[in-house]
Amino acid sequence: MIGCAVLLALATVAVLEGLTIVRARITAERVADQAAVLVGEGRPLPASLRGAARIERRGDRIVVTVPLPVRLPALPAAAVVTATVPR
Amino acid sequence: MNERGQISVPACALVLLLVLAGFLIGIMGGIDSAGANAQRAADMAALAAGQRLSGDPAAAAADLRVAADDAARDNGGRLVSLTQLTEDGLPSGVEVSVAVDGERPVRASARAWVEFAAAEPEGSFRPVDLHGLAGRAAVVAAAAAQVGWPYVWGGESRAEGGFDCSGLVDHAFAAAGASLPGRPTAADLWRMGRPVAAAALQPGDLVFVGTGGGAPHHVGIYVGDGTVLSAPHTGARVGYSPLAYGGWDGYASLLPAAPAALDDPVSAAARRSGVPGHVLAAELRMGLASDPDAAAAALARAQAAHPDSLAEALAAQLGSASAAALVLRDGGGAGVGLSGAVRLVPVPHAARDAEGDGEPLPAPLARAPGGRPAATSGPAGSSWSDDLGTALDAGGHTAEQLGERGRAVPLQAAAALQHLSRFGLTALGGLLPDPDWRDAVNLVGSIWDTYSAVRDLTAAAAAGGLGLSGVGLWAARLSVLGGALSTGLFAAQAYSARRSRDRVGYGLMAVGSAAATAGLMTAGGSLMAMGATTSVVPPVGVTLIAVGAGICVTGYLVRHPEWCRSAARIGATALDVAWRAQTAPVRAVATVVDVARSLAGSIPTPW
Repeated sequence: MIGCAVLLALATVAVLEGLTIVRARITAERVADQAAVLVGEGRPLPASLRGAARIERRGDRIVVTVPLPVRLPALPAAAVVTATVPR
Repeated sequence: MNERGQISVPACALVLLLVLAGFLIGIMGGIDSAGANAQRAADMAALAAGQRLSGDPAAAAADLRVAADDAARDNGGRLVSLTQLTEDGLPSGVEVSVAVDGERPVRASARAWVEFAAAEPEGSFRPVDLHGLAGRAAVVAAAAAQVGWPYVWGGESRAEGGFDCSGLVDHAFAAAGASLPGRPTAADLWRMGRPVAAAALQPGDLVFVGTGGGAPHHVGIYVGDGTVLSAPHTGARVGYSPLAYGGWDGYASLLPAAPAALDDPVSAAARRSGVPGHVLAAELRMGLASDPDAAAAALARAQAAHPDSLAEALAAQLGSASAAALVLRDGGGAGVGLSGAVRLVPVPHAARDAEGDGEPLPAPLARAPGGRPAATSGPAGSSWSDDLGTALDAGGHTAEQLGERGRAVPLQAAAALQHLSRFGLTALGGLLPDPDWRDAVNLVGSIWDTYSAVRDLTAAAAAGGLGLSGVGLWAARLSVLGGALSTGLFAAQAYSARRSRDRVGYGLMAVGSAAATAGLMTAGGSLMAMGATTSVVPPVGVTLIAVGAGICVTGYLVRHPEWCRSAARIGATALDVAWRAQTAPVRAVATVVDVARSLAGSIPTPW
């Protein structure tokens, strides 16, 4: 029973961590898409967008980083998505 | 395991949880970023082509494709197609389709709308593209382009807000490429000119008022057809007037004598309505109007409503500021700066559906009205409620992806979910402690297989086979191995069964499992070759799978006739309930009538 409980706990943690990674990735994809479109259209980035993720402009590249709220060993600390806006 | 060799309930719960975790991992693996990448690449490609178009509305399609393809490749995709969009025959945007190659190519579409804006130069009056005119015709056209400017005494620049009479002449000659020395006044022009008789006036000649003293104080340009173009006086605007009523008393020419210029119908219409000829000609050239007189009259009305801005008047006439900008550019030439605001707009469903070579197109990411990507969620939190929100969000996004992208990106996720769910049922069917429960789960699995095979049969018949790749291909490979194993097990159970119905049931299962496995194996060597990434099950194979799965279902039902009876009872009960629900109002009315009748019967009669 103890073994089962440990396995259950591990599986639960794994599921939650997986969900967190998925959510961070989806958020990063969305923010990158939105930021790239806004920059491509020549519009400023709204503060609400900057609040959702760290957005860096490196030349024609936009790097969006969404940190994971929980950090576990051997797992990424953040979801990073890069978009390239038209020159 | 307990002492009878059966698996305990906690172990089953653990298996269930692990199966759930497997689903989620499958979904995570399935939601690769191909779809999001494709949409972003399409967005960027559309924006790049839109920006190219905004700088040059006459840009060749090849140039737009190059710009779009560069942007798509920068974002990991490749341009599949580009369509130039037009509105009323004018360029209005582009629509692109971009693919991100991978095990299963994913496509996305995006549409960029370009709103053109014209900017006339700061230090000059209206630029005009003379479209090859020269000499007298050019002078007349350059002057006619300035119709509507206010008269400003001494005015000779846009900064001053307008022309005076000699300023208009000076500007027209300069615009026509025949610049006059200095900044001549009306008197200077009279002295510079070669006198001509009134009857010999040619378009482009000058007409004067006050030549009696040798120093006229007013000048205009004769434009033909007994009409003069001039900046008349303070409070008036540059416009046309009859030669006969202007008090003109002197006539001179600064241009070489030439045959009379032909008066084209567009210039005549512009003159009759008092509108700038160059934009009227541009409207007709661009196909925005076909009748010069009607277009000139409409522009005159618009100019009356917007006397200070030709761009606003054109926009009012044409109903589009973007079209007005393109007309100004066409009429004014390169002197009119052209820019464009590029905006992404949603791709109509019909366009998406009609596009491409049959490959499924994913819908764009969820977008708010106006084509903007939907607002992002807030920063990730760390409290338990945030974690719960995380879980719900992820589930919501997953459902959204599965729903929106249909059979494109999330095909991987959907396939992973579908196949992992099926394997989960198989695992449960093998591990549940109660044999009846195991059979029930396996029956559900076989019904699932039958339904899937029958559903795929139509598509396979149309496409010449059922394509397998990615998760689906690996699921098929495992199913072949599992099917062979199941066939043997069922056959052994049929051989050793004591009850006849068990023998028949297991026998049917063995036959069904063998048929389904054989159906899968009709895909040939590519099914099991480890290097192959795709395989095709021919329609006959899909048919065998459907028939085999159906035989398996029959086998389970033969072993459990009580399930058929239960199903029949449940069906009959459901029909009965439905019938009662349907007839309840009638029966209620009948009851009320009965009660009323009995009440009426119970009332004593006094007679």
